[in-house]
Amino acid sequence: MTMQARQLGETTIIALSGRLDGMTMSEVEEQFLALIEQGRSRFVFDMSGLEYISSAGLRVMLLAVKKTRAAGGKLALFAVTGNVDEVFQMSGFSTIFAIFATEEEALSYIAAS
Amino acid sequence: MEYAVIIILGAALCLTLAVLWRQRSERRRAATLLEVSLRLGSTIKRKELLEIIMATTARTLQAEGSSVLLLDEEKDELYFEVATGDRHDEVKQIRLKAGEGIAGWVAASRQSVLINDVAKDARWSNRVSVKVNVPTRNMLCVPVQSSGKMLGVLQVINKQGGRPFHQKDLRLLEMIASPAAIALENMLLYEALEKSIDDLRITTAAKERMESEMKIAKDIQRSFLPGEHYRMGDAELHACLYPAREVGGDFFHYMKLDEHRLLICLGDVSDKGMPAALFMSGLMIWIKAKADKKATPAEMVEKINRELSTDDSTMFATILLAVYDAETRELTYCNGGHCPPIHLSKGKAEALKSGSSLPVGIFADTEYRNNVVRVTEGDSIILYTDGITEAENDRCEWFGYGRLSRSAEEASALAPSQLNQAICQSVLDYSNGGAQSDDIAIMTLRINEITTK
Repeated sequence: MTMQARQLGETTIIALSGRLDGMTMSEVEEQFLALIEQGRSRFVFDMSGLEYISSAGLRVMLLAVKKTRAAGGKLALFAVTGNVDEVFQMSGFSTIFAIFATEEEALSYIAAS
Repeated sequence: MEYAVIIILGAALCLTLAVLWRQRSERRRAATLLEVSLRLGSTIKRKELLEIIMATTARTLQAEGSSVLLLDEEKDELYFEVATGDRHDEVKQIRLKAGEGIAGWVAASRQSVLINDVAKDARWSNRVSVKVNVPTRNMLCVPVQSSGKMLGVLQVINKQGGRPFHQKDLRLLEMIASPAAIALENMLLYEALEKSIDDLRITTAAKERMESEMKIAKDIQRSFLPGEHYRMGDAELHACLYPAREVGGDFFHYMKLDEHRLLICLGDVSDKGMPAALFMSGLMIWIKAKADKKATPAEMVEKINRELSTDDSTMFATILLAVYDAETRELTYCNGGHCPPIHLSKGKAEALKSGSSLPVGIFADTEYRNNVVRVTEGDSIILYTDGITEAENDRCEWFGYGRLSRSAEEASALAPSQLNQAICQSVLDYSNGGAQSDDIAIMTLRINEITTK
């Protein structure tokens, strides 16, 4: 599991790769909370490298949604594929995220206000 | 001439005697050292060893007293453990700072010293001497080191009979210092080993206490679940649960709503272990509290969700709640983010799809939907958790829905308990005895022929 964050204007682009499960969720949670602490509130998650997400992994994504809403910010995902897409569909999580095919679409959603 | 011969002979005799005497004294010294080494090697217990070192050293050097000062590396201090001589009880807890006194100087410089008039030496600290009331006239003090590591200093005080110490005494003490160093090092290793055994014992006790608490928690959690078998009219049910750890987040429940309606429910909390178990316990209470014969499954799930959803919590649970009506032979179900149940009819498995709805515990205002499926005699409805579909083999591949539906089809003629067992066995075979990474729960509802009424 790796999480890499880079800044593009006011938006933080977070690339997740590997497996997001009970073992790795706390790592992502800590890093995300640190970003919120720094006052960031616009996030785009690049899910293209994510191979697997468990229900514990979904909890981190839920935390991201709740914290972003509380901070009055916006959050979008792109490139949700394979297993991860299946889990998002089945769990109904696809209904609480703005999900896009490409980074450009996700960024323009975040930019529009 | 004769005088010359006598002188030469005399000189030769003296020389021979001197050589013989020297050989004898060297042999004696070697024998003494061997004896000292053997004595020092006889124990690794701190008190015994220090007493042996001091007694042996004092006797070998014909001194009134001897002491070993060990180096406390953390505090950079020398300390006395015990001392021989008449007052050996009083010299227990004395500490010298680095560089303090003659012992401190020896430890810092790693050089031996012979001092025949202690009172005149600038390095002398009378703190210890005064404290223990042993007047010191003369002394020898040598560093004790093993493989370059400073362990402490060894000193002897007051040559017996009011005599002074000589250089050969100092050399002898230096020789004694090497077996003493080895013995002290063994003692320290033994003590370190003993300490780690003690630590292990404490850790083990704490672990055992925790395990017993976990066992109690497991029993409490089990008590929330109904029994594994249930029969109501034409409906026969079997459910089982295998947590990956002592306690877990998978759950199931069933209850009779009225004469012909049976509520069944199964789900999965979004974590494992104790946090999941606590959330599951709360959830079970809300399921029982919101079970209502006048409400549809979606209405019940909405009520449960409202109770569980808080702004701060990120705990949630996927849930499949259904009501079987024996009169209409309809199963009304509501799926909150859970994997689709299997409808097994005439040996064919079909996934009971429904639109995506969120698990419970996320947003208080989430709306849920009902779906209805008609069942006939011999049909089975199988509810399960993702611990089955996401069980992995050696190559990290999932058991998957495909294998699950085939296992169900193969076992479709079996009684519900055997069907559940057959599915769990195929999962177990697939994961090849590897560690179960997620909780597993499975429930099969079989619609039998109506035999009475």
